[in-house]
Amino acid sequence: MGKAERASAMEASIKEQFPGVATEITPRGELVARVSPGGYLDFCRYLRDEQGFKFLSMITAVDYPPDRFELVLYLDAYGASGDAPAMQVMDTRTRQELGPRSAGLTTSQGTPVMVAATLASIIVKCDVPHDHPVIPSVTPLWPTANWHEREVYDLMGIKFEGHPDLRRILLPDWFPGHPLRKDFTSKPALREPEARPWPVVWPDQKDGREPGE
Amino acid sequence: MPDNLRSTPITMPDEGARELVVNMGPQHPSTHGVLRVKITLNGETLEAADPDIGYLHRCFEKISEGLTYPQVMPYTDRTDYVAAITDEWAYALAAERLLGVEVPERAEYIRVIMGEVQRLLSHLIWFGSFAMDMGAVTPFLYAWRERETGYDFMETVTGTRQLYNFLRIGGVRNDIDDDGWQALDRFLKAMDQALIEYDTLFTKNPIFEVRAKGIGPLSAEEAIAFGASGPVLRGSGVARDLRRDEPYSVYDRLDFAVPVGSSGDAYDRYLVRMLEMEQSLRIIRQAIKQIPPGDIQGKVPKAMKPTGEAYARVEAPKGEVACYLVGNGTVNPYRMHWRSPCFTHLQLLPHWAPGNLVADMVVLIGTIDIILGEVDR
Amino acid sequence: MGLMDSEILPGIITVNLKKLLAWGRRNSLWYMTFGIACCAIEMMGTGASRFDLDRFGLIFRASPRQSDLMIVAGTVNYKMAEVVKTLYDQMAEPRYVIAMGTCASTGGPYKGAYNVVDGVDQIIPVDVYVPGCPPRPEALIYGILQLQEKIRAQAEQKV
Repeated sequence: MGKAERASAMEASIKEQFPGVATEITPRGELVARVSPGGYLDFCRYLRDEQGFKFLSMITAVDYPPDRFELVLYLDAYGASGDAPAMQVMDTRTRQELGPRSAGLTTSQGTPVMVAATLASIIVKCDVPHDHPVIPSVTPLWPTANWHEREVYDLMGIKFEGHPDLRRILLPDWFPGHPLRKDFTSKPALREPEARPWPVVWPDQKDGREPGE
Repeated sequence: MPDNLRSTPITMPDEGARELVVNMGPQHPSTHGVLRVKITLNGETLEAADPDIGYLHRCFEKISEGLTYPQVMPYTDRTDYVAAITDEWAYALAAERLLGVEVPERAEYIRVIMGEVQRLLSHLIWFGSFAMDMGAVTPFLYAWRERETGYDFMETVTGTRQLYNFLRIGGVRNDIDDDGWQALDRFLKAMDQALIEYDTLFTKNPIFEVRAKGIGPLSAEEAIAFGASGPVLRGSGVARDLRRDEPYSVYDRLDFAVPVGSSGDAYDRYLVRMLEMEQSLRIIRQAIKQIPPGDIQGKVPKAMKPTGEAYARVEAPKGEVACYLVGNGTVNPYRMHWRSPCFTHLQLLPHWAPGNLVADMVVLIGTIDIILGEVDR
Repeated sequence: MGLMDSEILPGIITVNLKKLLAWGRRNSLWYMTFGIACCAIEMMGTGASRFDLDRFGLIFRASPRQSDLMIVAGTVNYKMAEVVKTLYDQMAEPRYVIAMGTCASTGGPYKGAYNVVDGVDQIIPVDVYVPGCPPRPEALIYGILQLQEKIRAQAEQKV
């Protein structure tokens, strides 16, 4: 089964399970699925568990004023398939070529070599309204989403419910506003530097000691 | 080093002992750039590591919304500044897909040659810094010696040692002339000798083996869940290389092997990168034989006003670099997002840190091969 | 430098103290590399074997407490500005600053961006500006030689 057939089969099963999701296939064979914020988390869970999309490449957002942000995810499903591109695999410890990539190949230390050709790729899009920019976090599904969502929060201002640690990541804490929004056009002034750029932190003050004592 | 020394955590007596939060500040001598890590220590053992980034955030994505499509190219250089050509390539691919531009064959081969030379230069600087962080200063200077020879080649072809602005949407800026081919020849010969030298000097060194084996283990499933790509993914035993799996340019006509590790620790990732350097030499030599005569720039519309979106990924030395480009029919991109592998890999640091010693922190940072320009954009 | 061999006690050289100190300072400028961005790679290349900086007396010291010269190599942004100021304050006088590259001089290609300080001279005083993106090692060495010239000239001023 080639990439195009897999994409069509996947589209058919998505339409069965999630009739409200609009799908299309790009000329390069990637699926595009548009979900609503309500069905977003369930759809992502379905993609990871039922369709095997274990690799999250990126999460980003595009601002379409005046009413919506478009959250964009790019996911890959890895695996072995008949039409996987040929690849010569080399073992690092022995520096010998192990042979063409195929399921069942093992390294000289006895560990298996996982064949990770791209079975399918999907772009998930979700419209998040401007006046209520909140959406569930997919960090419980893909641990790599942690920092991608923090970046979207930092630069676009979309809040992720259920995120373990939602705080600014690239900009300083005192930075006013969310710069990648289309209405952010001015340059804020540099804050007067304090004596220390960050405070001295003592994790616990149980024994009542002050720093420096 | 006796095993029990490493397995016994060095702790202070409970009486009055508490954790210490140490700042591994944005300015530190392990020349990786401006990264700040808040390390929580219990004696010499790491309990937690919290990276703080953004010290090099230069507003690349917002700036590109105010530039025309060709003007964005020099800024892509400055994301991963040690491997600038592959980053330009990601952007050029995305723009070419949006505009529907065909790249002529000779330009593709030149891109491959330049891209693989960049892979060598990037891995050289990684090797030098990795060794220096562990205290070995000699490999750093040796790597720089080879890098200077590589710089001679890049300068002969593009005019500058770093940050080339060499790729164009639809081709490359200029052809490689005779001086360029000779400089390439010198570089390849120097690299052949150098790789043998680094192997003899460093790879079997017992101190290096103790410092790198078993540090930062990553299983295949964890690697995929954490979004790893490139050498970090291949070191964990996953056979994936975007040059084969998401083929672009003329890589399907070139023959090379993909090194894959067995245990996913720092030693395996080191070996993956060293073997990748040898394979890059193999690719460059094939490309030199196969390169056809022809144009170096394809037909590009005079007014670049594309609509639609494109997501282009390349196998950069650090991993999977991707550019998400949205056009809305005007001369400026509506939105440009840069997917950076170092940003994704840095999330592994809090995952790896607990249980290791302080001295392993630099090994963990070095094994990700981090460049802050790419992390912060 | 004004060496005068004394006639009474041969082998004794007398010099002006200010000029002697300036000679010592300019020929042993220990630099704290402040490698922030792409210029840091060029600075490492200048310190490496081909364009050796050690022959000018410049040794890389990691700590600001032990260095006389701060080479700001790269774009300074709002988050980094406070750190740059702290490091500059930690250096002991006499201290000098070289702004390497256009980003450190004026903001460079990133001038006007929402998070970029347009030139490090908005935060700390700069002695020598080295333009280039990135400046070639020869350009950086020229900048360092100009700084040495500046130090020498400062000692020659009649106060």
